Amino acid sequence: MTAQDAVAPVDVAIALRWRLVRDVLLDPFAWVGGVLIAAVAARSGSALTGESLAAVAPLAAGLLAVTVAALGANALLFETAENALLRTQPLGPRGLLTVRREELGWWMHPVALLAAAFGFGAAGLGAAAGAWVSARLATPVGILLALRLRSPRGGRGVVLGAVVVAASALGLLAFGRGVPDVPPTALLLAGAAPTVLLGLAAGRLLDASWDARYEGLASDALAAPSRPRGRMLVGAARLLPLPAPLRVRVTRDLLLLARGADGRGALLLLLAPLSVLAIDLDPTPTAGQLLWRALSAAAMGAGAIAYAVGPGVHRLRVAVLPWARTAPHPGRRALSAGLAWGLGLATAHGLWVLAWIGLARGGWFLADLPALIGPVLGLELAMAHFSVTFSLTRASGRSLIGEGMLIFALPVVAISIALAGVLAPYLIPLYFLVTVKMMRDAAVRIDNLEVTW
Amino acid sequence: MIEVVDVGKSYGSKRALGGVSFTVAPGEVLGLLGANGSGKTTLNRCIATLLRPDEGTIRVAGHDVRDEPDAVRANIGYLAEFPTLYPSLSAEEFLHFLAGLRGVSRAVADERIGRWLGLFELEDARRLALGGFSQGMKRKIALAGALIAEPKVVLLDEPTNGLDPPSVFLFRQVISKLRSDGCTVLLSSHVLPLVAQSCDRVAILANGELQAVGTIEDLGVQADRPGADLEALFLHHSGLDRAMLERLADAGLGT
Repeated sequence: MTAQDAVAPVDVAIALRWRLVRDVLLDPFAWVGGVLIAAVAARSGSALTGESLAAVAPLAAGLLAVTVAALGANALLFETAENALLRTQPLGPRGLLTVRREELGWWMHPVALLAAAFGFGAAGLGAAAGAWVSARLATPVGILLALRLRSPRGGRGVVLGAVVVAASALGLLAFGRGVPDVPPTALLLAGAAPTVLLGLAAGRLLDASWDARYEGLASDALAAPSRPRGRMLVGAARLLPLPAPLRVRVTRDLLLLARGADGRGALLLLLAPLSVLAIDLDPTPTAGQLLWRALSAAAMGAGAIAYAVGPGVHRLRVAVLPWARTAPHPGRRALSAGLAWGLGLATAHGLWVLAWIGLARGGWFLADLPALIGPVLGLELAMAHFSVTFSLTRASGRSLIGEGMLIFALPVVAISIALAGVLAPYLIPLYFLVTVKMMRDAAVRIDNLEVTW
Repeated sequence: MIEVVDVGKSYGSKRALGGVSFTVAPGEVLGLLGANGSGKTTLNRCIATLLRPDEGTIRVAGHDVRDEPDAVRANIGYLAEFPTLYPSLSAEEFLHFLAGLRGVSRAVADERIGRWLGLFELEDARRLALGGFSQGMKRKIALAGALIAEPKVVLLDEPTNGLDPPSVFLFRQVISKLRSDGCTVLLSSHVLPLVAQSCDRVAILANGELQAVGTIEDLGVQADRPGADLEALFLHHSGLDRAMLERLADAGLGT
């Protein structure tokens, strides 16, 4: 190879990073999940009401995207262990910033698509486009925020100020009904403008001045001890009325989720409560319609929870399986801890759905609640139970076989239980009877898994 | 007590272990030596119930690994060759997790964690994320984790990888204490001086088969080389001395 043929180190690094990122972004299961989440996002957007939606959607989406971008930039620039390798290559700080900026841009594609879905649901195509552009331009803003936050010279004050200004703008736009006769296009531009302008300015600033400073900040970050966040969760988890082997598993899962070890699971759990937006109470539904809508919302939320606590939590645990497998009763306890998670969250979500309906329109539907409790909670519990048990039954080495099957199997369970809920609610407990063997198989599977890592 | 009788294990068509038999008594430390790929880790995993042996029997503290795996698990502490630690948990959180897995109460775990972290001079790192730990620090945490429930049988696979000399010295004292407390210890290591100083007997594996087992003196007698050091005996019993001389000659480096 001649010197002219040689590929620049930055391009080599970008190509390598793309090979890693594309495996995640182009994963067909991620796409299935992404479409579902986009549907929820669109539905969430459509649940907003008011005159200023065209403006709120792009701005809200932009702010959310900036937050995600800042968190991602912080992880990529300062926390990824791979930086130790990249920083010793002939890339230089400018090169590394370029690689990470490119990579963060790829990761932000799904965020931009979700933002667009939210915007579309809120105020149609114009808002979708505005939200998409805002989110796409969030990458340099996120990087700049991450650098600023690490900066010893009052970075936090600047960031805090930016957050206050952004929140004020959002509030003014969302509730600024006092502004008379402003055309929707102007509102749309007003909503998209802050993040677009911020994005362009941040891009220029990054190019101009942050190369040299990044080197020092990265060095400081490497030298600084890392104190994990969320220690209060340990104290809270200690109060769980569970035996120690179960409690430590649940605590571990909670800490790992809170610290971003399973981004997909955390996102699903955050989105699950939004499922109540699917409950359409206008015009006033009949008792049958209300039950079906409550079950639909319960199924949406329980589906998100099920996927997070089934394959998601198993994936978190499997890396350290040698420790858990050499402790007594590994299968039974893994199943119990998974069910504690799944059933606990499903119950909480079910109660949230019931509370949402019960409190709607000043308690209009309170009299309907007794008929909803059994079917809604039964559906929630069954879906979470099925996902946890199914995932453990198919645990295979470090990965899961049949994770894709869960996408198809879970709706079958959901529809069956929902139909039972409508037609004969007393049949729902039968689900738990017919899955006793499946539970036993799940525990035995973990007990007998050949652990070679 | 560990009793291994005629144990065999294959991965598909590859035979990893065959006809391996030995015992380790309470209060005894057996060193397991073998070249890379000789089957040490597979044997450790079979004893630790992570793998099921295809042939033979293994009993740990009187319990069969196939028939009573949970009774075996209740009695062992296992340190893997490459133990995985959660990088986002702190040392304290991770050790509490391991103690809790074995039902150790929080108060007792707190006291033991303090003792181990103090021994390894990691008190200041108690609340730091494991992801920022050096290789040696991680190893110490993993060792503390393997011993946190004070097991009767301890399986240590390359326990001193990444440890500095003072830590290796501390580790040897820990082994001594385990022996005097009546623990059964199986210590797999490539570090021959450590094995020579810490172990009562030595077992040598080569190509999945046990070549020799006994005290260093016994191994010398068996090799007809009394007084030879452990390195020479290990190379002799595993057949590596002849093989290496041939390879050196082939490479033009023979003497």
